[in-house]
Amino acid sequence: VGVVAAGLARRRVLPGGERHDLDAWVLATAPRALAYALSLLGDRERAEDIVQDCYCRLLGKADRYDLPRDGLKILLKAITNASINQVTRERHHFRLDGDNGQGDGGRLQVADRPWLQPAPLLMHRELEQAVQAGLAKLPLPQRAALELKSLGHSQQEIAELLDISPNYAGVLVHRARQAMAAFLAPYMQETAE
Amino acid sequence: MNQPRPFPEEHIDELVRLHLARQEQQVDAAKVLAGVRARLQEPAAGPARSRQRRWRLALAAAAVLLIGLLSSLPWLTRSASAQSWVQEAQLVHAQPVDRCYLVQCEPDPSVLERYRMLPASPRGQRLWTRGDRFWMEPDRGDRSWAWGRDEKGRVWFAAARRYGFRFEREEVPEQLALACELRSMRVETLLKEVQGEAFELKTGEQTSQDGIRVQVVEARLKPGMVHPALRSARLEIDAQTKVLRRVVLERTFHGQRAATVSFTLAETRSQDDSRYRLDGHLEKDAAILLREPPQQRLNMLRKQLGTMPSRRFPDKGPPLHDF
Repeated sequence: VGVVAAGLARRRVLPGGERHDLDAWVLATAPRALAYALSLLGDRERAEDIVQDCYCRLLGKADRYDLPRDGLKILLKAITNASINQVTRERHHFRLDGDNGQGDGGRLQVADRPWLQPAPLLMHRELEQAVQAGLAKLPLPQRAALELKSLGHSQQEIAELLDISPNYAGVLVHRARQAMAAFLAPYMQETAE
Repeated sequence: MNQPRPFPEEHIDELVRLHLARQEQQVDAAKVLAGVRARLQEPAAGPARSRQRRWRLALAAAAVLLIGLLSSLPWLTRSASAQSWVQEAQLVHAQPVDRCYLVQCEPDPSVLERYRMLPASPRGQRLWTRGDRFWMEPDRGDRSWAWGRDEKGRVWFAAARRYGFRFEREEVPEQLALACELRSMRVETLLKEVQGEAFELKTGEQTSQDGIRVQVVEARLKPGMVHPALRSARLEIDAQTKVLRRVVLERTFHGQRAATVSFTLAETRSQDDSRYRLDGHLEKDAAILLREPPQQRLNMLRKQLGTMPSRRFPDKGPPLHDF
């Protein structure tokens, strides 16, 4: 019997047939969820706390969602909100939208980047650490937007996950890329020399 | 004065993705699950928990842990020895050495029916490993296909050296991921996982059929613990070189037995890096599919393997008898 599902069944929130599926779903999604939270918060203990809490809240509503299909997206949204709440220590529903909900007029489209194989550069430990340091310097909304983009989410999905307009999602990704490019410029110099 | 040249923005997304992928590799999913389980097993008292209550819980947990440790000292003594053998094997297999294992897979018929994916070879397959990288191909005869997992965690499949399919680490469809997990062996991951709290380890000494002294470590999932694809593992470790000579894995899917897969060391020989990548198994003018949506690529792969008629690829691949 799946342990997560057993706990839920005891709390009468889950019918008996889906038990192994939920455990497997947690195991399958945990690496991405925790890596994302860790990158947002920069603190493993807080990230683990938030991720586990988000799982518990989501699993408590397992009967309302199709978790294998939508669960990861909902989970990432919950982690984003919880991380922002914790970092800002402000009101519970924090709004990232800087355009005052002005809608999608004049939408800025941020294109997916082509596959250019910069992976060999990451062989340099220094650059790897610089990427981490650069991300840590970004404002949290920009960091979240860039990470979600790099994980393959569309601009529309990023907007939904961050509760902002698609236009502003594009702005956040664009600014984050610019900031990272500037931060990593010295490494470009070194590789060129 | 020289202005620093800006870092190419088109690299940023990929660098961030690689950074996150590395973070993911370091996550112990079983630990997260255990944490979620612990929280769910607590009485539903609402979101607010006082610091005092947390301290009480921590003290209680520490007391239970201490009692458990004291009462299980003999067991710990036995497993410590098994764990040290696994750790030594882990060190040896962390070296960049290429090893080839002969693979025999005995799938459970019910799973076989539901999750046909990769081609079978009646004579078994050969698995080349280097750390967590691997590639597989039929043992003898028809060598028209190969598949593997490269150093970036990408799963690839080469058919007839003419068509290549590749899936990024995070876009591998579930069915393909399952097939890979059930049929292959990621040595580093396996040796790390069996040392986790989910598995009970026992060990004993034996002499293999070819007269070599081996240390046998049996890892079995503890009652109440879960693992997405493994119930037990039998590791036969060369007592002198600490190399895995034979491994037998009892694979599971959703808690049910899926297959018994055995790996027997066949040879140790240096391999070119490219053999672990897709391009090392294709002709120069081969078609490579890596930009189509994952599900579309999976369907094309299935067509190429002969599970359904194909218009795009006229050549039929080997029949599917296995995951």
